[in-house]
Amino acid sequence: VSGQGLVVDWPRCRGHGVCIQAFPELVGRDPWGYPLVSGEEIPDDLMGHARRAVRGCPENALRLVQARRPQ
Amino acid sequence: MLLAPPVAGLATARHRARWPEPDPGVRAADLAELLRRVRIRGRGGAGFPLADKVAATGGRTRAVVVNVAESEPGSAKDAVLMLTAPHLVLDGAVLVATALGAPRVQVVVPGHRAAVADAARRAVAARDGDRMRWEVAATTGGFVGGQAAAVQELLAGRANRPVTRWVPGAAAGRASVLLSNAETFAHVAAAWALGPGRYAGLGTPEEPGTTLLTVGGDGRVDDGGATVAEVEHGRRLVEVVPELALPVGGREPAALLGGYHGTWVSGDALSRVRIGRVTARRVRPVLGAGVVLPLRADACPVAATAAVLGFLSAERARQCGPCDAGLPELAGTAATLARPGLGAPATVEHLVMLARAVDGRGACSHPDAAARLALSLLEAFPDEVEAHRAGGCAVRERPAPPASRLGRRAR
Repeated sequence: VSGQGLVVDWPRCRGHGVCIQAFPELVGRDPWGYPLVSGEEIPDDLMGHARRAVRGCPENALRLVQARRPQ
Repeated sequence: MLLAPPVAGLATARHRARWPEPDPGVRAADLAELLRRVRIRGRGGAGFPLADKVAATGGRTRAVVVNVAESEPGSAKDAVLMLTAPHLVLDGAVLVATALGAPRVQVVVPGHRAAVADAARRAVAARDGDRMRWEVAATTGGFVGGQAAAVQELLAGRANRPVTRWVPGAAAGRASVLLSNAETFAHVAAAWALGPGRYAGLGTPEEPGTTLLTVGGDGRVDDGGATVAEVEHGRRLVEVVPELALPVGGREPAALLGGYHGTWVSGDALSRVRIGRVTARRVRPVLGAGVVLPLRADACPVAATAAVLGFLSAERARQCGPCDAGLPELAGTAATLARPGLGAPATVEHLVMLARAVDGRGACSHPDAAARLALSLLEAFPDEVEAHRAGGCAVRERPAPPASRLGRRAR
C-alpha cells in the first residue's frame, strides 16, 4: 500500500471535475459537482490514477499527503 | 478566581493590588512544569492542552497571540474578562511570551464588539513595566474570522478568513507563534500567581481549576440577557444552571451546548453533562467555549435550529464550494421543516443528506459544525422532529405551560 491519500484544498477547488474523471475509482461527485475524496490510503495499483488526478487539476487544488489512518 | 470581586477593570494599580507582576525570569521549563501540573486546556472551544501547544513551539516562538475575537454570538465570557480583568489576560500572555523568548504580544480584538475592542486597547496602553512590543488588531471576518487560522491570516496582513491547514495547527511541530483564547491566558496568570497547589484546589485531578460559562442571551435560541459565571470543573451542569434540571412545559429540559458550533442535548444526557472538556473516557468539547443556550418552554427546537443554521449560512466565508453551495440549502431545508404545514418525511431525509454532504469539506470546521448541529436536532428532539415531519409542530400543539414559566428565567 502507498501510505498516501488525497486531500482537497477547498478554497482553490472550483469543481471542474477533472479529478472525478481521472480517478473515478476513489473520487466521487457531490450534489454540486465538487469531488468527494476520503483521504484514506490509496492502493498501490491505483496510484497512477491518483497522480493523474493531481496533475490534471486546473486549480492545483488536489494534493497527495500521508494518508489518514482508517478509523 | 478570575472573576472574583473586587473588579479591577482597566486600572493597573487595582489589578496589582491583587495579582503580582509577571515574573521576568520565567523560563520555558518553568512554564512546562506549571502546565504539567495544572493541565490548562485552550478555552476557545477545541480544548487542546496548552502544554502540547507550548511544546510544539520547541521552547521558542516569535509572538504570542491573544485571541479575544469571540465571534460566537452565544459567548460573552471573553468580553466580560476584558472589561473586568483585562490585565490578568495580558499578564498570562506576558508570562508565556517571556518563557518562550517572544518579543511581542498580539491581541486580536472583536471588530463587531466596539466596547470590548476599546477596553482591550486601553488595557494594552496602560501596561507598564513589561518589556513587550504590543500590537492590537481587530477582526473583520465575521463568525469564521475568530477561528485561529483566520486570526493568523489577519495578523499576516491577509484577509481575515480561514485557510487550508495541511496539518492540524495546534499539533504542527513548527509553530512560529503561540495562539490561544483570552481566557486561557488568564488561567496561566492565575495558576502562576497562586501556585499549582492552590490553583488545583478547585476542579478535578484531571481538570484542575475553573472555567467561564455564558448562559443564554445569543438572540436566536434565547432572546433574554446573557449571564457569565465562573464555575469549577467537574460540577454537573444542572447544578450550575438549575433551570436545566426541570421539565419545561411538557417536555424534557434541553439546551444548545457549545454555541452555534455545538450540539443540542436534552433530558438524561443533559443531566449527565459535567463542566469541563474532559470526561472519564474521552475528551469531547461538549461545552466548547463554555456556551449554554437553554431552550425556553415556548420555543420550538426545529425553528431555533433553522434560525441558527440561517446565521451560519449567512456567515460562511464563501471560499469553499461544498460549504458555499451546501449551507444555504441546509439552512433552507431546516427552515422548510420548521414551518408547520411545510415539513414532510422527505424534508428530514434531505436535511440528513445535506448534512453528510457538507461535513468535513472545507478549509475550516464551519460546514462540519453546521452538519453536526443539524444532526443533533434529530437526535435530541425525536418527538418534535416527528411532529414537523408530519406537517405540525409539537410546541404549538402542546398545552400551554404554566404562566410562571413563560416569562424570563429567574437568575
